[in-house]
Amino acid sequence: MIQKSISPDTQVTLLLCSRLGQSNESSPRPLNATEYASLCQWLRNESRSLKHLFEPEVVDNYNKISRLEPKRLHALLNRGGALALAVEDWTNKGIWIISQSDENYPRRLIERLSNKAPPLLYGAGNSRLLSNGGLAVVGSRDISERAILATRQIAHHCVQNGIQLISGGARGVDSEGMQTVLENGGYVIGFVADSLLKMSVNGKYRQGLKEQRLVLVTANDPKTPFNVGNAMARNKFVYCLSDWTLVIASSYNEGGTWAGATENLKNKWVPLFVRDDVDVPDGNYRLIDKGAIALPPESFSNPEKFMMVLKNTQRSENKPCVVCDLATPYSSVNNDVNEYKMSAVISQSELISINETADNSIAEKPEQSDHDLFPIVWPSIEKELAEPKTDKELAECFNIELKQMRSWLSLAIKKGDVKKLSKPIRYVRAKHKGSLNTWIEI
Amino acid sequence: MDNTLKNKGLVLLRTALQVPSAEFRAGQWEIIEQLVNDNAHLLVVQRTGWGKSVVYFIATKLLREKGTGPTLLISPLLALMRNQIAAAERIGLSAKTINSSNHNEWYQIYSDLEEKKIDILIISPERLSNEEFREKLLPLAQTVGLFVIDEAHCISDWGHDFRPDYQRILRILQILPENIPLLATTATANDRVIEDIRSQIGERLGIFRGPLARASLILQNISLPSRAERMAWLAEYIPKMPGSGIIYTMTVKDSDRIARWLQSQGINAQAYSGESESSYRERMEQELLENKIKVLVATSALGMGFDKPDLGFVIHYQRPGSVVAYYQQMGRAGRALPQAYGILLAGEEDQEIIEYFIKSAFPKEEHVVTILGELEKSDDGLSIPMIESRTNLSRSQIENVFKIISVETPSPVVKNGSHYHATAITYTINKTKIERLTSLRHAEWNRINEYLQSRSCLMMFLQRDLGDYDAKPCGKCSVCVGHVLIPDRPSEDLIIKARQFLYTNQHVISPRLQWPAGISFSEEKWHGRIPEELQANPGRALSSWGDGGWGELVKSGKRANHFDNKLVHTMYDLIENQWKPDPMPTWITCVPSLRKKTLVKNFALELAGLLNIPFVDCIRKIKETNPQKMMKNSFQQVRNLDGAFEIDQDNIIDGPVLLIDDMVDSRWTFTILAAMLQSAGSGPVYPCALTNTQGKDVL
Repeated sequence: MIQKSISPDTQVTLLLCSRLGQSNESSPRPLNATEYASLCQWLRNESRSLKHLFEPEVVDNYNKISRLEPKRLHALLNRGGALALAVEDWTNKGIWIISQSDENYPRRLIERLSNKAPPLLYGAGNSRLLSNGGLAVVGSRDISERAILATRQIAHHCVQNGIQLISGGARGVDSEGMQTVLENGGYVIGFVADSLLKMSVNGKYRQGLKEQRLVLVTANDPKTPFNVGNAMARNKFVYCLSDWTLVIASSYNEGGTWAGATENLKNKWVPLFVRDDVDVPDGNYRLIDKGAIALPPESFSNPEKFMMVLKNTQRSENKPCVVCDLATPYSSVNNDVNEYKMSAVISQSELISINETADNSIAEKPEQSDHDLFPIVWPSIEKELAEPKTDKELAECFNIELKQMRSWLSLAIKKGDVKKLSKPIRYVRAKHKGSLNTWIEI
Repeated sequence: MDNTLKNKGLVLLRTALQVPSAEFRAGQWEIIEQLVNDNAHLLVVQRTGWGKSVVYFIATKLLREKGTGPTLLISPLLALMRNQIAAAERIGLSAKTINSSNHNEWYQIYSDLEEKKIDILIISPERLSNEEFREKLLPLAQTVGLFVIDEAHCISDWGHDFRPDYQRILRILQILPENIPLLATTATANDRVIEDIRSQIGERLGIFRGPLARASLILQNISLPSRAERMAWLAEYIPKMPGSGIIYTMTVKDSDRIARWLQSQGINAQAYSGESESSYRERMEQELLENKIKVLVATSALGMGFDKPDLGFVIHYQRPGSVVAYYQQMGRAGRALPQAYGILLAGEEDQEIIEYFIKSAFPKEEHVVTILGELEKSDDGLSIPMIESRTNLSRSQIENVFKIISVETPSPVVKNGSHYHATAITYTINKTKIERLTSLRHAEWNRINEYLQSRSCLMMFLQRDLGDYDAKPCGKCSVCVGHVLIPDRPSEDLIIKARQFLYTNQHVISPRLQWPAGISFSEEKWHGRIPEELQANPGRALSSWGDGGWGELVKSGKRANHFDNKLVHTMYDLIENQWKPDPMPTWITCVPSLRKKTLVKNFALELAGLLNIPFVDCIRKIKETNPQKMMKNSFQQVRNLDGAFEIDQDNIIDGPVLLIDDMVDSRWTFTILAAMLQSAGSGPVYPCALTNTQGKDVL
């Protein structure tokens, strides 16, 4: 018996959640992570598995209790022909697909994101790396010479200490970090926002993939070209796959790095480090203000200092320590784990002084106003509005609260970017097209 | 409920067959019912003509009425498609095919599919490997209601007819969810093939299998070693055969040659091969269907499922590679006739042809390694011409490598546009598999030879080999009746005529018009299109290497380093009486060789004497080159000759010239010298060779 290329659960999950190589506007609309999670929960309660969805009665029963449009599930499940063609094509090109019940699906995504964890991961290379954690290094696409140097220094520290690098695979910080680690024999997870198929045949990744030191992964169909919405959604996966995340450079209040870092502070996924140096942009300082841990230049130039920081943080999190087994001796200061509080600034000595906790500092801050996040998210929403949609559809589509979507929509109406249609109330993109792209750093 | 469905099915059956009293054959309704009601996955093994297609037509009709999407039918050959479309239309199904020959209809078909106007979409397996096509098919495959795979034995590499594209189909079937019904059909699969298919697709696959006997067929085997004898036999007995039929040959060249020979003997014969234009093939199939031609001389390209119920005979000019292949091709005869003939002729060259096919079925490991090595060196991938310029591999060798490795999963290459890229997959050619398949091919070849010599019933031999163990002696074949049914010796007169025909087997050497891509040749930096004033004129080759005619004499002349005087006279006769080039050459020169200085030159001198025009020794070879035969693609062939020749400007005559060489293969030597001679001031150049060695192993 020949090994099947995907597990039975993944097969059903693909039918439910994948676009199967089709364009965005394809109908029926695949389930998003939350819809998928609710369905799985119901199946568990009914002591059924995904496979039972091939029985029409099971689907009918679910339709009775769910808010999904009744025809949608049936239509999704009937896409078997497209599934077979698409998966054959992907696997032929070296792409694998895993879903949450597969062995190599990283548990930490489910633990940290619960019902927002991606139902499917598409990837190339060594899928076992996904569960190995490591240091995520993020930052803008266009960065200074000093930032590049800092990125490379950190990348070298990672390789030397057997710490895996997690990266978004974009230009700038992401690819500097990846390249350096790969060239020096280290391990990398690249959670990409561009077409996985394109990335996976790029000559610069071939060696790393061949040597099982690199995994390229995405939550979108492998052919999906870069788009801002997906890039934004990916931030949380980069953070959640890591043990720590380091921001090399972030603009203030705009761009993917800022959005990702603040999202992490809010959700307290992993300890957040921010580079603190003479050349850093405004965003870095603001993140430190919000409770991120500042890393001075010494931590970049001196590998031991850097390692110390990692260890201290991990202890403070009361998590199994990835680096504890490494040869470097422990600093005596950090014994009392639970009561330990960490500093926003790491002093030049190896001691870590005390400040407020990162957690509290964020919780106390008021929510960001709509206007601030708006320019970041708007291009993605606008794309969906090529055709009229209801506010509910949009909220579902982006997996956010209806209230939030409504307030963004009313702001967009004010700005004249959106027209409101009646009977039923739907929204559609206004004809004129402003220079929205300039808002986006990515 | 079931009865109403069955009644509905029966009405459809009668309409499709145009027989008001028709009933389902055993198994037909059961298959339809399981597909329609249970989304079953089934393999149906039934002889040609049993009615497999009517099964999936009726299943499609009933599924469509239930509201499912269209059927996707994957089938290898155009002949099949055209026949089936007509049958489907009788029960109100709209069937459309997408293939390389109807590109102009694609757009319409796509939009018809979107508007749900099409019930069955028929595509060839090769289409599935086409990137552009897949992109467009994918959205439409969204709602496929039934998968049908024709000639499913090709899935198994134990089958006689292993095709790389079916590996892709196999993987598609492995992923196909259980809520989509699947029907795989074949007329020819033995136990091992069926078991293999089942183990690969999954135990869920149900099997329907029927008896394979063909009562109307009369079988006889005849050994006639020389081509001339078999050609004579054909000319003598084809006119006596009932109705119209097919002669199968193993090579395209033989199909052409036999068709021309039969025509010269007043028999309405036509050639048919994969190299013929698709419109021509379509016309030939039609003419055969309508009995407008007596016989189609075809390669296996006239294939699976060609559906002519009243085909009177199938004759094999050479032994096919296996019993299964033989049964399948021969089995096309007499499906709706009380009596039809299946005659196997065996010749002395068969073995050599089969060996060649077996040997070239898989790419050599070193070719795979070379190509992957070149791809890995490049960041942006390479096109096939780019690989030609970097390696000494022929285009067909390169294509063969890609054909095999791009269906491996995961594949070491990905094609983007015209460029191939290396992926991160470390690939090693599966030597055990290749060895296993190669020895299987040899075993199959031995088996067909046992069939040739069989002392028990021929039909029973075939059936048992295909796993039909209930087979009984047919009582009709030459073994059962105990004597030949058709005389096995042709008349001596016809054998002599056939031999003469083989001896006038001349070829036109058509001029090359274009330098190979990426090359810049000679001091003049020739590249791109060859200007008309430097092109060669059409020339002639007297024979084909080892063709059973003059080619044999050329072969022995090469060995003896002297060409027989007969060849000079024959060449003279060819030029003076048959070819008659216009304007007539006024002088002769020849391609010089450093290895055999006198062989061609002496021949040219003697020919010049007969033609009564001067021989001028005006081309010098100034550099030893590798034998052109060793250069495997145009780029390397031309580069090998760069700087090899020099023209003696002072001796050039301003008049048409005959350029003599012993062998012609790639035509580059002639092309280059024609350009050099004309640029040095000669008149038009007529290439002229003793033998054409293209596609032959000479070294």
